[in-house]
Amino acid sequence: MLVLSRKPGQSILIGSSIEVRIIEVQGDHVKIGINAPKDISILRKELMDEVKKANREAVVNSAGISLEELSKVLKE
Amino acid sequence: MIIESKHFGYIEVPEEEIIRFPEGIYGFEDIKEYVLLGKVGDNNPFMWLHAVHESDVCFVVIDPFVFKKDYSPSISDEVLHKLEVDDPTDIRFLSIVVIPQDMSKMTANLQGPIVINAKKNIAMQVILDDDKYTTRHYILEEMKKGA
Repeated sequence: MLVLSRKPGQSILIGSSIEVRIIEVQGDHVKIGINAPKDISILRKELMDEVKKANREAVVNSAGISLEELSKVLKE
Repeated sequence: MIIESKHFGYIEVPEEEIIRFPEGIYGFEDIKEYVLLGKVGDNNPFMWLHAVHESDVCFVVIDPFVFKKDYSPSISDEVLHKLEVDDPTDIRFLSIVVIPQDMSKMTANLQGPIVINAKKNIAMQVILDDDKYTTRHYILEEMKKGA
């Protein structure tokens, strides 16, 4: 991982189309602005990690389940 | 074509029913082809989303509007473009379900819906950056709320 130090107001360019700017620092919070083409998704990493985790659990737990049983649970 | 499933053995599936996931599903990015199983008209909202070439990758999915009538995922133009959507009414949503030992505590991922262009059978998982939704909504609770 490339680690750089920036001050508020300074930017980093990634490739030719992505700009990451430090907007403001308050205590242990950093406000970051990002300019990127619309087809590049920008996400908080924890969100992605959560979705991957939920997906993996879904696969592990689906072994041996019957859709009829599930449907019955809904109707209770 | 015939697909092999650890769950179901060998299943015959018409080629036209194969759904392409050009970007896979998060955590399973290398798997690009799935098929929906179990959608017989028996009023069962649950289905299987089964990988075509991996016998043990299979998700239980549900139409989110069955238990969350006010679900309003906002889908960007970029997603519509990636799914080659000509008509927004071609879009379907599915939520991946996690089923614990106690089935009544099953949860659905409303934050990361599977979005499908039902006309062209192209799909992707979209992560919504919306505080309203999480990766684990208790299905039974949501149904009771909505009743």
